[in-house]
Amino acid sequence: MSPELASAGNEERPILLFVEHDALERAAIAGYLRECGYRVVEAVSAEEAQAALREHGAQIDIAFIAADLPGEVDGFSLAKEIQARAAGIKVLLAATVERAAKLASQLCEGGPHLRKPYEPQALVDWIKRLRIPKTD
Amino acid sequence: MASCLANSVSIHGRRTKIAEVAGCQSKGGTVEISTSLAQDSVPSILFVAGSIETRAPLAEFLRTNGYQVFESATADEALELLNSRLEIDALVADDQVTGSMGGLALADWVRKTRPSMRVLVIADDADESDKNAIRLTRPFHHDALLALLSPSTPGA
Repeated sequence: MSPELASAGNEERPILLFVEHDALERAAIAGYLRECGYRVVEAVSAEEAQAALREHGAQIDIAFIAADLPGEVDGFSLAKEIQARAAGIKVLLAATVERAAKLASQLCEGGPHLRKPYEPQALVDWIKRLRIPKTD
Repeated sequence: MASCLANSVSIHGRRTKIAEVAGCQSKGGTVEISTSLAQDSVPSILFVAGSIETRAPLAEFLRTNGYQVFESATADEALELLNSRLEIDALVADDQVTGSMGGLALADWVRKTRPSMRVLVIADDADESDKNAIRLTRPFHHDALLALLSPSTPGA
């Protein structure tokens, strides 16, 4: 990864590593957290998360992990690994989209903008609506 | 604080309709609608690249330059996002994508099926791909990507 992760944008925005395999859930929840003022690095797998942590572990404030990651390292193992190796990173684990939305909402309440764009249930509903194929 | 209730709010893609906003006009109240679910005013890009090392910095660069960026690591994921209700204005596809379809094939498919979508491919000079693609050859300066995404650049 290039140095832009550190230099671009606003330095005081907390950096959040969001690890989620599902593309729509990832896009929706990462977008929500960005609206709350977080700088969100998206990882699609535990392997990508490990790569981001190797390169930028010291800059990452929060690791937000979906538990149902496919691949050799699941979300639980990744969470344990981060807790063991990077004590400065706050680790959050969500097993379901509802739980992820709830955690995202709580992060927003404690986040830089001190407001959340909408309620967690609206986020879950929106993700469900996104999956309905376009009719036109 | 006075509040009012919109009886019928419907969101159809990029339009928001409000009918019968009760109790608002007479009291001079304001109606505030969060457009955050869709971020309609911001141009959106689907960026497909197989590795986080490529994807994350470039996606962040585009965001700091005013784009909403959806990320995907594979063409299959990209298709899922394209077939969803997300509003996507442009596709930027790196050729370093694994899975059932490569980045160039994805770009080709999108150009054929979504003629209104701006499609850019990032590839090596030596690559064989069709000449209709708007192409960014590695290595490139990030500003070159912005220039190609700009509506004033010809080609779509």
